[in-house]
Formats: sequence, C-alpha cells, structure tokens
Amino acid sequence: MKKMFLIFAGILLGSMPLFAQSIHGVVRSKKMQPVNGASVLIASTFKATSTDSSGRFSITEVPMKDTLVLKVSAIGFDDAVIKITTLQQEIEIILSEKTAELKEVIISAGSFEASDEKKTTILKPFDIATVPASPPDEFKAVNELPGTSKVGESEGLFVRGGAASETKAIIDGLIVQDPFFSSVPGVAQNGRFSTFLFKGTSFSTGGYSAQYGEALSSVLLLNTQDVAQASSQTIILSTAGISGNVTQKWDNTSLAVNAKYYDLQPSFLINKQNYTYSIAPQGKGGNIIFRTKNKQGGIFKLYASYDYNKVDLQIPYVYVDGKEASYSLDGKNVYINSTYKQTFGKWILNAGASFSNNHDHISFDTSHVIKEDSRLEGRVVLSRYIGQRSKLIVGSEVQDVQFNNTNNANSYALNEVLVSNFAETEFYLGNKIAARVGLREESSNTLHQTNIAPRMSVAYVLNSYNQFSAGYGNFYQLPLETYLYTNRNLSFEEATHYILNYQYSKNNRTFRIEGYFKNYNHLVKETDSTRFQPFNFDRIPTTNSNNSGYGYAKGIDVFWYDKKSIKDLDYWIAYSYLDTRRLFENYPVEAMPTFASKHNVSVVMKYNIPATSVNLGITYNYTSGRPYYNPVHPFLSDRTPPVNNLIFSGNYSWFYRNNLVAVFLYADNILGIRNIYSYYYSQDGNQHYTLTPPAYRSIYAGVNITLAKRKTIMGINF
Amino acid sequence: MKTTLMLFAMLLIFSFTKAQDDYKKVMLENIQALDTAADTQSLNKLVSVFTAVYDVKKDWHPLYYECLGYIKLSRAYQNTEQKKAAIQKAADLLDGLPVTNDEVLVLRALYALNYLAIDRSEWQTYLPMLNNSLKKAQDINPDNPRSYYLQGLLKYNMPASMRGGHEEGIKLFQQSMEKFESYQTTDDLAPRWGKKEVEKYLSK
Repeated sequence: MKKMFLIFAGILLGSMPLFAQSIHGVVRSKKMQPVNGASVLIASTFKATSTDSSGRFSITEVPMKDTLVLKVSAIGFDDAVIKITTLQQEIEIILSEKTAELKEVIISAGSFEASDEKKTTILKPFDIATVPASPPDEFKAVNELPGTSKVGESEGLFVRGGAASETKAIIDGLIVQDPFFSSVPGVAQNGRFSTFLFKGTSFSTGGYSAQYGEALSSVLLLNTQDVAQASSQTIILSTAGISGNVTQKWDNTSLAVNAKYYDLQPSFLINKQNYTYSIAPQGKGGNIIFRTKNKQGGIFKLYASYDYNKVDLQIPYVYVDGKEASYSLDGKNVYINSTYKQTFGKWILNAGASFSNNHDHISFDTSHVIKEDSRLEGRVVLSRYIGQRSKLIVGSEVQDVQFNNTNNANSYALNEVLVSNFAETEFYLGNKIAARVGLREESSNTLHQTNIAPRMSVAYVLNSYNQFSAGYGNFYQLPLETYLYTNRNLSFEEATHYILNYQYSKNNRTFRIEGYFKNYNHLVKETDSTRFQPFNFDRIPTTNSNNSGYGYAKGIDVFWYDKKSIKDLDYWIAYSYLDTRRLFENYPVEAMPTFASKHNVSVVMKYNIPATSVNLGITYNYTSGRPYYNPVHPFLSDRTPPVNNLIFSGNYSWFYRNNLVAVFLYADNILGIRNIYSYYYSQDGNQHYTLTPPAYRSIYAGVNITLAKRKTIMGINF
Repeated sequence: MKTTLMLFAMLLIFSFTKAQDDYKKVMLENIQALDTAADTQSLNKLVSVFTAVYDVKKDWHPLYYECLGYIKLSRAYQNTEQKKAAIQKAADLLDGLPVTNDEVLVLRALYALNYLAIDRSEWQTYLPMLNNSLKKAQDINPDNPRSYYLQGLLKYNMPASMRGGHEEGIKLFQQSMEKFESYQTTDDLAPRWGKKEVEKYLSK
C-alpha cells in the first residue's frame, strides 16, 4: 500500500509541474542593437513572452527541468533555438538579420515594373491604370515615367535619346507591329491599347533581358489579364464617341466583346483646333478577348482586334513656302495575339503566336501612297527553377515581317524573316546578390547576317530598403524598312548600354536614381549630300546609304514616389536629364536629334476626396527646348521654347438602380499655354511655319455605365 | 490489485483533464487579454504565447488568435514597414487555418480589411477577398455576428454614392447586434470579439 501511495504521489507530482523560478535576458541583433518585439517561448510549455524596447524579456514560473529549449523569433531575423539550463539566470540571445527577404529580388537596373503578383515592385498596375488619359492609354501612362522625352507632334515612346522606332511594345512576349494609330505628320496619335487590358507592365528603359530583341533602346512588356473576374456590361458615352463592352464569365472561361465608334467632330466645337479638318478623326473598331483555364492550371488567351480610322486635314506643305496641302488617311488594322501557358513537371511552357496587318491609304497634295505591313510571329519559351530560386529560361522566336509601299508610280517591297534563339539564367550569389545573365542570337534573311548579343544585370541588396543594380548589354535592330527597300547591303544597327541604379524604398516612399551611358554604332547613314528635310512625309531614300552612323546618349533619371506623406494623395515626380548626339540618316554632321530634349519633368498627382467617390488627378509636364532646323544657322543649333502642360482629370461614381455610373472629365493643357513643338523653315530660311499642338486646350467629358444584373461589379458585392 | 488499476485509471484521467484545464485556462486568459490589448508590447507578448501554445497543442484556436494578434499588431504599429511585416505574418498563418470554418472566413475578411488600411492601391485583390470571405462565412453560418459587423464597417466607411454611408452601416451593425445577443456556442474558446465595437457604433 505504501508503494502504491508512492506511485500515486509520483504521478500526481509529475502531472503538476513545479514552478519555482524565473528566467530573464536580452535579445540583440548581431550589431548589438536591442531587438524589440521578439517572441521568446519555452518549447513544450505554454510559457512565452516578447521583448521590450530595450530587448529585455523575462518569464516567470518556469518549470523545473534540467534543460529548457528557448525558441526566439522576430520579424526580419532568422529564428533561433537555444538550450539553456535553469541554473542560467541571465540569458543573452543574438539574432542574425534576414538578408532583405531575398525570396524575390527585382533587378531594378533600367526597369520599372508594375505587378500585383510580385510584392516588391515599387509600382502596382493600379498606379499605371490611374494615370489620367482620355481614352485610357497604356503608352501615355508609361510616358510619365523617367527616361522618356516628350515629343508633342509624334506618337511613340522616345527613350533615353532613342527614336520612337527604337522602343518595342511587346504583349505577352510578342512584338506589336503597330501599337499606335497610323501617323499623321505633326499630330501625335493615340495608342491602340487601354491600360485596363493589362495586369502587369514592365517598362525597360535600357539593359533589358535577352528574351527580347529588335529594339535599340527600350522594351515595354505588357502582360494581359487572365480570366475575367465577373460578367458585366459596360457602355461609355463621351464627347469623343461611344463604346460598349459585354463580358461573360463561366467557371474557368471568359469572353469579352468590345466595340467602339468615335468622331471628334462634336468635340471640336469646344476644343478649338489649330488645323483645318475636312474630316475630323473618326473611326470604328472592336475586339474580342477570350480566356480559358484548364484543370492543370494552364491558360489559353486569345485577343483579336480590328480598327478602322480616317482623317482629312490641311497640313503645312513645307516644300512650297506658306502653302498648306490636304492630307487624308484611311487606315485599317487587324491584330491577333494568342498565347498558351502550361506547367509540365518542373518546366513551364509559354507558347504564343501573333498576326497583324496594317493598311494605310494616304493622299497628300497630289501624291497617293499605299502603305502596308504584316507581321507573323511565333514564340516558344521554356523555363524552370533550379533549386529554390535560380531560374533557367530558353526560347526561340520567328518573325516574318512584310512591308509594301506604293508611292505614286513607284513600288517597294520587303520581306524579312528574323529567327532568334536565347538562353538566360537568373541566380543568386549568397544572400545579397542576384544576377541575370543571358545570350541572344538573331539571324536575318535580308541582311544575311547573324548577331550575338550578351546581356547582364546584377542587383546588390544592401538591406531591406537599399538596393544597387547595374546592367550591361548589346542590342541590335534591323535598319528601317525605308532604307532596306532600296539597299540590302546594310547591317544591323547596334547599341551598347551601361546602367547604374540605386533604389531606396521604405514606408510607401521610393527614391530611385539611375545613370546610364548608351553607345550607338552602325547606324544607317545616307551618303548623298542632299538637303536635310525636317519633314519626312513618306520619303524613300536613295540606295546611297551605309552603316557609318554613330552616336551616344548619357543621362540621369530620378524618380520619387510617395504614397504616404499626405493622406489620400499619391504623387510621383520623374525627372530625366539627357545628353545625346548622333550622326545618322540624313544628318550632315553629328548633332542632338530633333526628338531629344535635355530636361523632362513629370509630376503625377492623384487625390481621393475622403469619404466620397470623387477622384482628382493633376499631371504636370515640362520639356525643355528641342533642336529644330534652320538652314541659315549651324545644323540643329537652334532650340524651341520649352513645352509646359498641365492636365486635369476628375471622376465621380455612384449607383443608379444597381448600375454603377461614373462621370469623368479630362482637360489637357487647362492653362491654354501656347506651346510650340517645332519650326519648319523654308529653304532660304526667310519663312517658317510654326508647328503647334492640334489644339491649345482639349476637354473631354463622358459617362461610363456598368450594368449589373446582380449587385456584383468586378467580383465586389455592393 | 483491482483497486490499484482503478487508481491508475483515475490518475490517468486526472492528469489528462489537468492538461486540458491548463490549455483552456491559458487560452481563456490570453484571449481575454487579446481582447483589450492595443499596444505593440502586449500584443507581441500575446502572439508569442499563442505561438507557444500552438507548438504544444495543434488546435486551430491558438493559430486563429495568433493570426488575430498579428492583424491587431498591424494596426498598432505606426511604421508602414512594420505594419506590412505584421500583416504578412497574419497572411502566412491564415494559410494554415481550415477554410470551412465561418470564423476563419471572417478572420480572412478582417485580414483583407486591414491590408487595405495599409495599402489601398491593391483593392482589386483585397475588396473581392473581403466580400467573398464574408459571403462564404454567412453561407456556412448565417448567425455569425462578426460577419455582419465587418460588412457594416465596410459600408460605414464607403461613400454614400457607392451604396455605403453611415446609415447603411448602422443597419448592418443592428443586424450584427441581434446576432450577438442570440449567439450561442458550445465552444469555450470560440471568438468573442466585435460586440463592444458594434455597441460603440450603435451608441454614436
């Protein structure tokens, strides 16, 4: 019985741990700084605490055991497990800092990325989508980022001293041949793509990946949305036209149909034009967007669009002083892009094909021109992770591009087939360095040439907030078709980029500064000593050209983005400094090109009036004077006055019988500043034509109505 | 010998219930503390305790409260980076919680709401998450008072033009209060939060 009592007592005692003493100590970082808010717990017990601001902790009523296991963790530090004996009363614990959450480092040299999927990008797709533009235009939004120069009279992205043709827009991996509506001399055209098509944007102002090519300066990588969130119908009525959308969503499939008709004539009643139009810009078009996902997580995307546009206006005919001539354009564009993404074991397959055809019929004064281009592109990319974080990407693409130009009695044609292969790897060296190294090979059937372009970039993460990046690469591009029409003995044009970047990002504030140097080689240069013509309406140069042109661009881009300092206000400031000169095309001597400007400033502000659904936006742009041609002065030594623009936008939305209604107003150059884009001089330099914006002030207003059967809009129940 | 076995059996049951009591006692104590804690110091201590408890007892309750603690921490911190780090911890913990539990779905909604408080630019992801989680929670348990509270909170802070406003919010708070008053559960450790806040809004 006594023995039984002992067992009884033993079990009783064993199930009632004895609390006798307390432990205390301090948690510090390797730099001996106290760690505040670190969790300290004793394994296999319910005993736990956290450290105070001096890193100190204490736990009372510690169970009596020979050894205890302490688990210590804190945000931003690696976990620590420490064995202690209860005799030890004062415990010092040193935690090592986690190296800047290296799960994903965005190599920031030369690149602005906006993505919801990657947590560490400094921009979100929403930030891009809300840059004021009417109609919403992906290219206008990107043009507010540093590295771009504004060229009022031309569409296109002019990146770091590059011409518009040196930037390629790439949708889901495939180059878009005609991202903008067809050119009208002196009048910049809109882009064809709305910001709302894309879930991710990556704008590279230099040193871009080996996965892409055919762009001397820059690529704009656009990733389209996946399966739509919900079914909806939308009608947009504005002073510029009408458009509608029907989206139907099934389980893993969605189909959207968009149609639009526009005519700017009514808006010209308010927006006084500097040009005389006999047909104001008008057009119609539509697109279908189909998305379907399979059970294995693969996704198939199809986008097909058709656009028709027309305009007839009087433009300066600079070959005859003071004369204006009628310019009319009739453009048709078809674009189809389809991609398929699927995971096979460790490999991810991205396959895509695109087709586009653009047909323009142009009459200018007495001449008639038919311009046509077609592009057929196929692309296959395989990628896989190696280990946890390293990545290997290999791929091939074939581009078949055809150009035709019938200029009165003359006719020109070009069919280029460009085959490219590339391999790239992304890897980490320790915890602080991420690198991307790639190689791209391109062969042209027209040039009978092959080039090999190495690309490299590296990021060094100093800590969670500070990062340095550097980039280097060789970039090639075919000469413009206007040169290849008459001369097939040309070779690839070439640029080499060197980039250094520093980025600080903390507390919803980002500061970025990037310096670059870009060296141009083998640019096409005309060898005829003809007069320089600033106005290049469908000029087909003679056969006398070679690749003896060259040039450079260097500069500094600064970006400050602040979503924090002022409540409900997001703003960014982008500043670009550019120093560039080149000898190319029909330039007689090396000069700063007409599309370059030394200083560009963009301030983008977005404000949501608290407790309302009113959003206001103000954008300010400054572009310093650009070179223009005056035949009696040294070549391109004159500068236009600077261009200033203040854009206002506002929208207000509310519900009307389950339908979401949004009214919007967009006003370009609200101050009505009399900007001057350029001057066209007569041959003797005595007379000149002043190139101004098509209108000094433009105002557009409209209403966007989303019809809903149920109170669900974009997956949100109201 | 028979008595010895009996004694053993009793002792085993005793020590087992003792451990259970300890678990419950610690949990109840800390759940209560979490209800009133607002400063980072005490919240950090509480999440640490729930971590310790979950280490020993793999039950959804301690994980739930640890997650709730991190959500409250994301509010308590002043610095955005710390706010983000805390809400990220909550997101990691949410992944380990059962998705068929209405309280977990309400917690997910609370997470989304607090994420938006830190970074509203990601509303396209988090507003649908907030709405869908509450809708699912109500499908599973239409009597969960906290789901109406959070819906009310969203409405209350939305502009009137967007079908929100104080009146709309109050309606949902009233509905929530009715549910709070008739709320019954056999689970001693079930979440209790929300009633005080609803009372505060209703007395405004």
